[in-house]
Amino acid sequence: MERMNRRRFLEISAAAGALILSTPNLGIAQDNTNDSFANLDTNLGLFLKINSDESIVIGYSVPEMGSGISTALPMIVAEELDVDFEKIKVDKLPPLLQKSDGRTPYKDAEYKQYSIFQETGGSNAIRLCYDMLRDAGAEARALILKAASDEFGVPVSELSTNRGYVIYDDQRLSYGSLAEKAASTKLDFEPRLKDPKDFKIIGTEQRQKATPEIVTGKQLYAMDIYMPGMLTAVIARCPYIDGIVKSYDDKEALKVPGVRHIIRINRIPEDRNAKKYVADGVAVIADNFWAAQKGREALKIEWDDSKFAHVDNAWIDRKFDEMLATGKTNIKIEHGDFDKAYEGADKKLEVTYDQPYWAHIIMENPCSVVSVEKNKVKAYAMSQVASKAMNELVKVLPGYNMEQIDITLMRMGTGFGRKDKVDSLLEAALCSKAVGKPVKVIWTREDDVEQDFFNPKGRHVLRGGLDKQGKIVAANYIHCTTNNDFATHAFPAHYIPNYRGENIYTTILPIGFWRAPTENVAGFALQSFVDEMAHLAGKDPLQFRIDMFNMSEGTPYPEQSMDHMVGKRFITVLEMAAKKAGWGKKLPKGHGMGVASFLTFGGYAATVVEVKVDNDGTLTIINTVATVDPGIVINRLGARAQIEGGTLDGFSAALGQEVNIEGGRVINTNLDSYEMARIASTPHNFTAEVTNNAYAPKGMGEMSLPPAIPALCNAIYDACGIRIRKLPIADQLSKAMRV
Amino acid sequence: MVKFTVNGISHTFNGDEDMPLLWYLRDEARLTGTKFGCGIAQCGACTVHIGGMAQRSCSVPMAAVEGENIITIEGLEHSDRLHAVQRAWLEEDVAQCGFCQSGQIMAIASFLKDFPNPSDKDIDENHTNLCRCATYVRMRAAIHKAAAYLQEEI
Repeated sequence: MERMNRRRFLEISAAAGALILSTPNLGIAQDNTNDSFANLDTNLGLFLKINSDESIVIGYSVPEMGSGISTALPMIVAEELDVDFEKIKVDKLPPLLQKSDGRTPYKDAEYKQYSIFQETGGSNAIRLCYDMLRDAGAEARALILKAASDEFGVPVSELSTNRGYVIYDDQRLSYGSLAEKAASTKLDFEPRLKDPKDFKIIGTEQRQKATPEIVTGKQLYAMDIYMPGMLTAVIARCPYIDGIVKSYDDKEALKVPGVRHIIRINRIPEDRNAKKYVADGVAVIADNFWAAQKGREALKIEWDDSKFAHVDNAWIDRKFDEMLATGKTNIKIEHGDFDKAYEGADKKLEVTYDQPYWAHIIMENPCSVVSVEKNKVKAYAMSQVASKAMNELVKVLPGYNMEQIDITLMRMGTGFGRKDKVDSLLEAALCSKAVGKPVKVIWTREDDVEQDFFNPKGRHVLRGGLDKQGKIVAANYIHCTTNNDFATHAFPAHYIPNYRGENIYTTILPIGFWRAPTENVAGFALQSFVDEMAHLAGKDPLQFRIDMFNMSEGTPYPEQSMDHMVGKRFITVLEMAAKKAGWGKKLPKGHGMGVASFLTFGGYAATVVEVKVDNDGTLTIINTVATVDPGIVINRLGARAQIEGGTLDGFSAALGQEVNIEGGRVINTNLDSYEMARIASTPHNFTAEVTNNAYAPKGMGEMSLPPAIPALCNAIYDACGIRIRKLPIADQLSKAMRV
Repeated sequence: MVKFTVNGISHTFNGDEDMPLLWYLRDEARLTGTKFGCGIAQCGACTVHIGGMAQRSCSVPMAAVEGENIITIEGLEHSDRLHAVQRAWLEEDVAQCGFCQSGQIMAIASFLKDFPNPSDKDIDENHTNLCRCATYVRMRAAIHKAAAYLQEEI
């Protein structure tokens, strides 16, 4: 968006002595061209509010799920505004939607987000908010300077600002004392952005703003909302993959004390050929969770399991065999002539990697509160995408329009892509509409795993050929999977002269985004493959990669809003991680070191892992160094937190996670059978690093995960010669050591 | 009828004594800092202190709390001062989403009574709460810091 266009959305208003620089505080902007916004002074609705008592509140537009966005986004505004970041407060903006012009990513949606980005996912928030938030801060600072210039009776050019004060000679005026005047001021000059060299907040370390509430238990999540007269629903959903309710008997359930209503929840959409969004089930609505849960246990339901009753993990593996045997793949990317180059290669390798379905295990299970009233709807939702939450909600409430919906997007107890879907919100709306009272729908952990939208199970077939100098001259990547996805441009595609990428897929379990979608498993396959090729070539795995990246500068990369993939950025993160980890040093017996690098959503990441594998196969992760280059870093403390979490998330998935299916249903639905890593699996030495450069900023949430898994697997190979070609690692090492 | 105290205040309960303490705390007492995570004592998000010991409240029936003194995250600070574990958590910027952290803090406040100067091995062997954001690197640093604060307070 052009700069002046962006500024058009930064409306100014004075309310009770406050300077408000705001996107419009209408829940809904009526159309694209409406430039006159009323109601700017009600509730928060504020992008930025400077009160005459000196307190400053910066609103953030993107829902918080733990990636630190509620701290990082306000830092950008505060930088240009020039205030003391430790003193400012932050608050979530209400969602702002407008009628869709059909150009949104969600083409069937009636409404789209208005002017400012309001989604958390795809590591997009920093990338897409950065320019606008700088403008907002700079504009507010300019208005304050203008007001101060009137007060002092001197031109703006003789004034400067420092941490919430305008300075003139030896005098100063606080922003708060200028706020009211600034709000009624018109700018007669273009606000100037800071030179990034002068940044005082961007690039510093700031603690998360919500932590004082979190450590005292005061932070509210959707599950913590209690509306007057509210009932609680627990829903029996069909446990079989895309099955439905055949019949049910609720006589006993209705006898449970506290149970008030039992209603059918019909599958959404009702067309069973379309992908399931809300599961078919029976809702038990009661005075509290415990009564609802007991009521659900007393329900007798006959399910129709016919659609996938034959499915288990082994069946899917056989299905992959059959699919690959057909050879009917979709070519996703091709350059050079793979077949010819492979035929003529000096050394060849063909390997297959398998990985299972992963569940999200969001820390906070799905939960939503909705009150459907006569002329309005109040909703408390966990949603990564404001526009999706509202569009989906209005669809299940015929007779209500968007203007009648008041939705609060709560802080989320993790999301990882699962809260892209708002199925629990729709269930709560349907329950509330049916019983005429506010209803909270709570999912148990078993519900959460069983009814998840999973990360797809897949098989990755790779073939590669080396020339006499030990360079990869030909590679072919076939991704056989349970969702139509392919990491088209993932390294090393562009660095190999003869390359063909293909996919072939089927659909079984419901699929959703899972931290670094597609890249999370492509990273494992591709970076394990590169490691195997390095060993085949008899070369050091780190140098082998660096040599590949040196081949070209500015490789075209038409994805993720990037023009080019820059080889030297890859080399930088690889060398930083390798140096810190002591790559090449002599290691004790049984130890090994592995490296991997990957580009995810525009961020360059490299991971080096040192492990120890004992004679009985016991695996210990000794040391980990994870380095990410996301361009300009907003909050270095928060950025490192995402590297730590993303890397350990990858280790956890690699070590033990696997969705088990039997008889057409997921059977390991709680934490006693779905294995998640705890503090005991966390390496005692862990370094997270972010680079320091001036490239355009990208996000941080996902970059560190894709290289973490192959770095671990490559380290295991270095330690004991066992190559992990199937996830999870589980007990593979101890089994192999016994042989 | 079950009689007990929560954060020093007397409570009585007349309902279904099979109901886990977690749901009393949340649905009845509205102390929502104690979180629901798994319902089978595997994740620790619901950890509270019963008689000074960390317990997973999702798996403690109301019948078992007769006469007990229960402390939740809301009652951990005393004399308007944050508990050492809370302070360490703040300083190390441990939390990401924050949902599990009440349980983590309650578990560690209890753990440090048994291991006032814990090694990393002690932590690994005894602290089993799940953090889905995997904030374990900072958590470990914060545990050591909290231990040092508590030593100073003695």
